[in-house]
Amino acid sequence: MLIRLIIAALALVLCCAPQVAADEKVPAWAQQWIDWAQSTNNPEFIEWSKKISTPKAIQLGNEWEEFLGYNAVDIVAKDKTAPNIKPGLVITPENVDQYESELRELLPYGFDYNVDRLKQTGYNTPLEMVIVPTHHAYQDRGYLEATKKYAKNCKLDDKGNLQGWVAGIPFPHPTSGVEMAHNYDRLTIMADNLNSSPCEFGLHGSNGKRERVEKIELHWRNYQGRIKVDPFPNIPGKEDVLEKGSIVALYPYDLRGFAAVRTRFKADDVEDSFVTYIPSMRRIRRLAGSNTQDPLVGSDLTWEDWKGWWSKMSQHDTTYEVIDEVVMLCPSFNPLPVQFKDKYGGWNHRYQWERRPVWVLKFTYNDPNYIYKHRIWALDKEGFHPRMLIYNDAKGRFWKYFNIHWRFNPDEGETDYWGGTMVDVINKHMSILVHTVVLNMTNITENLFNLRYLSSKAH
Amino acid sequence: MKTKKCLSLIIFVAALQLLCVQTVFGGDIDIFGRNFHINGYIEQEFGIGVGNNKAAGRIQEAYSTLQVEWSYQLTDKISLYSINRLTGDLAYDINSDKDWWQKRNHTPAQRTVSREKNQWEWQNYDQGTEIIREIYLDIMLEKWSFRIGKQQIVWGETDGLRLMDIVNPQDFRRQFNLYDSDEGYEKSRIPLWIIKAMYFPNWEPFGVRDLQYEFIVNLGKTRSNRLEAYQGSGGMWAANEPNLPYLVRAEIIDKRPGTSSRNMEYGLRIMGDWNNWIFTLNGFYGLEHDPYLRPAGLGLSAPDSDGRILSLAVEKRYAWKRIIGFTLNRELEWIKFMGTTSPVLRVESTFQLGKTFIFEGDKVGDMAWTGLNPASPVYKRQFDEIRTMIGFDWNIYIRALNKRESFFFSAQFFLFYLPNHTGETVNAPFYFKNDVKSQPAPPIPGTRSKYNDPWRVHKTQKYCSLGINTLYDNKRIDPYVLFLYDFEEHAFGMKAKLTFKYGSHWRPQIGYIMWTGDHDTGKSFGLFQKNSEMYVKIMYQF
Repeated sequence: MLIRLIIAALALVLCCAPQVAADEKVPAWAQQWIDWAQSTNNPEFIEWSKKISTPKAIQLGNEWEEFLGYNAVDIVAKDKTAPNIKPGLVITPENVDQYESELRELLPYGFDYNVDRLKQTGYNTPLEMVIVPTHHAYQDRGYLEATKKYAKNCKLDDKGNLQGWVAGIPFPHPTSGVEMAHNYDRLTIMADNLNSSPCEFGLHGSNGKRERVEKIELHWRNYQGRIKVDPFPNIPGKEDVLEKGSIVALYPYDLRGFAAVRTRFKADDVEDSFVTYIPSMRRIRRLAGSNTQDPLVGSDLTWEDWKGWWSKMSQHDTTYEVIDEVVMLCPSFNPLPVQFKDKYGGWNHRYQWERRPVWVLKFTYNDPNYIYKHRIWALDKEGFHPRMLIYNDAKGRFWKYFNIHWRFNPDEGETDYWGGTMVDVINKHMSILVHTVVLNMTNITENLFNLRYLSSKAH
Repeated sequence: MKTKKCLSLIIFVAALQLLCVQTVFGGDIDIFGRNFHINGYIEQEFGIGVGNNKAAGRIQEAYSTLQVEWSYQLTDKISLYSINRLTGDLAYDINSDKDWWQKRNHTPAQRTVSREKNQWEWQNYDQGTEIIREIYLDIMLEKWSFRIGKQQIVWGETDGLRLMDIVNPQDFRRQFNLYDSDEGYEKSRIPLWIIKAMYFPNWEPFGVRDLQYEFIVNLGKTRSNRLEAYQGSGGMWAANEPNLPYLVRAEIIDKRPGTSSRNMEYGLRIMGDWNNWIFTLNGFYGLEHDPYLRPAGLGLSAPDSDGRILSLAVEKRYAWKRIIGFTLNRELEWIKFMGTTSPVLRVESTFQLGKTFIFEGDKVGDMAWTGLNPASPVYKRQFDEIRTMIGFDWNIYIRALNKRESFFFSAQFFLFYLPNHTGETVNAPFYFKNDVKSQPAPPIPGTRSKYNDPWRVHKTQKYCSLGINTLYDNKRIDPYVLFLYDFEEHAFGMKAKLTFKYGSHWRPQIGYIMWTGDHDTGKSFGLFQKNSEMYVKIMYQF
C-alpha cells in the first residue's frame, strides 16, 4: 500500500514537473513582454503575450537563440538611444513634435520618412505608431534544422553566386552584404507554400483616398529548399525548378479571370516561364518572364519588388554594402491586421512598432537599364528578412518606400504577411496589400501551377 | 416601337437592380451553401463616320449592350457558368427619320429585308438570341475535365487574323474585323453547342510536361460566319451592294445545313511543354464558316420595282474542312533589349486538305462561278492551303516616353500558300467595277472585259500586323493601336483606342477604326472603307 502511494506520488510529480519547470523557466525575452502586457491591462496585448510564451514557442525560441548566439531582446536592451520612445507610447500626428528628434535617431539612413508621415509633409500617408516591446522572433523550425544540416556546404564563387545550397539559410552568421542578400533570396516566402485568397491591392491616389481595389488569389510553392511539407528538401522530378507561383484575378470585372503561372528555374541563365490565360482572348498566352520591371496590376509594386526583388542575383551587376548594424524602430509583428482609417486628412495607418536589431544593407545597381539605382533595407538580424525598404530611382532620387506588415506564429516560427504598404512619393500614389495567408498547406498539388490550372480558369 | 421602348425599360430596370445588388467586391451570394457569382457590364457606344464614308459626321452605329455573367458551384467538382447578353443598335431610333439613313438601309437588294428587324438581337429573325449566349457545365475530375454546353473553343496563337481559331465562327456584322480583334474576339465569336473533354495523363514522355489532350464534338448544330452581304439583312455594316448591270439582280440562296447528326464536327488538340516550348498539335473536321457559291441558274422575271429583269442565282453552300496544324511559343531569352527583356516567339501553322474555292477559270474573265461558261463548267476547285504566322511579342522600355511601363510590341507576319494552285480563284463573285452599272447585262463569260476586277485568291498571300500598347498613370490610361496590312491588295486596317480606367467601375473609351483599299470591287479591307469611324464608348462594369 505504501509503495503504491509512493509510486503514485512520484508519477504525479513527474507529470507536473515539465509544466512546473516550464513555468519557472520562461526566458527573459518572453517574460518582459508578459510583464509589460499585464501592466497595460490591454486584453489584446495580454492574449499575445500568452501566445509568445507557450512551451512550444519557448522551446523553439531557445533553440534559435542558442544557434544564432543572440536574441533581439538582449541586443535592444543594451541600446540606450532615444529613451523616451518606449513601449506603451502612442505617437500620432498630434504629438509627434515632442518625439521627432528621438524618432529620427531611431530611424536613420532615410527611414525617417516615417517621421515625415507623422508630420504629414509631402504625400500625406499619415501614421499612428503604437510602441510595443521587442520580440524574440525566429523562423520556422524547419529552417533551423535545414540550416544546421546544410549551411556548412554553402559558399560563394568568385562572382558572388551561391554554391552548394540545398535548404535553409545559407549564411546564418553572414559576414558580408552579399551573404545577407543570399539569405533572403533563399528564404523566398519563408515557408514551403503560401496561399493568399484574397490578396487585395488597395490603390490610393494623390489625395490618399482609395480609388480602386484589385483582388487576386495567390499560390506560391517552393520546389527546392523545402523545410517542412513532404517531400523535402526537394520535389522529385522537378530538379530544375526553384519555385512556382500562380494567380487568378478576382476583381474588378475587367481583370477577373486573368490567370498566370510563373515558373522560376534554378539555373541562373534560364528566364522565368510566365504563361497566362487572358479571358478576353479565351486562350493561353505566354508573356516575357524577363519583363520584371513593369508594375503588377495597377499597383506601385513591380515584379522587382515582389519578395524583395525578382531578377536572379546573377543578372544585374550589383554591389551589396552593409552600411551599419543598429537598433532601429520597425513595424512590429502585429497580432491583428493593420488598421486603416480616414483620418488626419489621409488614409491613416495604425500599427505596432518595436525596436529591432537590423543590418542596414544598401544595394547599388551598376546597370543603367535597371529600374533602381539603390535599394536600402533594414534587414532583421533574427529573421533575415527586411522590415522596411527604400527604393531610389535610376537617378538616385528617393522614389518609393515599402513597410511590410509582418505576422508571426510563435509556436511554429512561421513568419508571413498581413500585407504591406508601398508608397510612390514622386507620383503620389500608394498601394496597400492585404493578404489572407495560409502557409504550408499539405494539400497543395502541381495542379495549381501548370497549364491545367490555366485551362481550368478558362471562361 | 412600343415593344422596343418596353424592352429598353426592362433592360434599364434589370441593370439598376443588378447594380443595387452588387457589393464593392463583386457579386458573391451564398445559395444553398454554394457560391453564386454574378458580374457583368452595361455599355453604350456611338460611332461617327469619317473620311469618305457616306455617313461622315453622322452617327452610323450606337451599340447598346448589357452582359451578365454568372457562375454557380453546384458541387465541389461541378459548376455552371453562363453569359447572357442583350445587344441592340440605337442608331435605328436616332436616325429613323433621316433620309441618308433610309438610303443606306434600303438599297435595292437590301430593301426586301430591312436591317431594322435586327435592331435588337433577341428577335428571332436574327437566327438565335444571345440571351443565353453561353451556358455550360464544368466537371472537374482527377484526370479528366468536361465542359458541356454552349461555349467558345479557342485555339491558336494569332492576333488580328484567325488561323487555328477554327472551331467557332465569327460575327462580322459590327465593325467588321476590328470590333474586338484587339481583344481576342471574345465578343464577336459565335458560341456553339459543344462537348469538350480534356484528359491530363500525368505523365511526361520525352520530357514533355503539362501534357493534355482536348477532344471536342459538335453534335450537329453548326453556324457560319455572319457578314451582311448580297441581299442580306443589309444596314450600315453590310458589305456594299455589288456593282451590277442595271438589268441584273443577284439572288443569293443560303443553303446552310440545319441541325443534323450528319453535320457533326470533331477536333483534337494536344498541348504540352517541352523544354519551355509550349506547343499544340491540332486537328479539326467540320463545316466551313464561309460559303462557296454554287450557280443556280440565270432567269428572267417580270421587272420588280427595281427594274431588274435578269436574276443570276447562286446558292451559298458550305464545304467540309479538314485541318491539321501546330502552334509553338517560347521566350527567346538569349536575345535581350539593352539587357532587359526578351522577345516571345509565336508560331502557328495550319494545313487544310482540299479547301474549296470559288473558281474563276483558267483566266480572269472566264467567270466559271456563273455556271454560264461552257468552256469552264467547273465552278469550284479544291486546293490544299497552308497558313502560317510567325510573330514576336516584345516589351521594350522607352523611358523617355514612359518612365514606368514598357511598350508592348506585337508583330506578326502571315503567309498563306496554295502549293498546287492552278487557274484563277476568287474570294467573291459579282466583282464588277462601278462602270458596269451603265451596262444592261454582265460581260460574257470567257471574254476579257474591262469590268472584271476580282478580288483574287493569290497563290501566295501575305499579311502583317503590328500592335502597340503601353500604360500610364498606374495603368489607368491605356492607349493601344493595331495595324493590319494586306501585301497583295495593298489594303490596310487600323484600330486605335484610348481607355480610361479610373475607379473599379467606369471605363470610358474613345477610338478610331479605319480601313483602306480598293472599295470599288471591295477587295480585302477595302470592303469596309465606307465604314471608317470614330467612336466613343462608355462602359459600367459590376
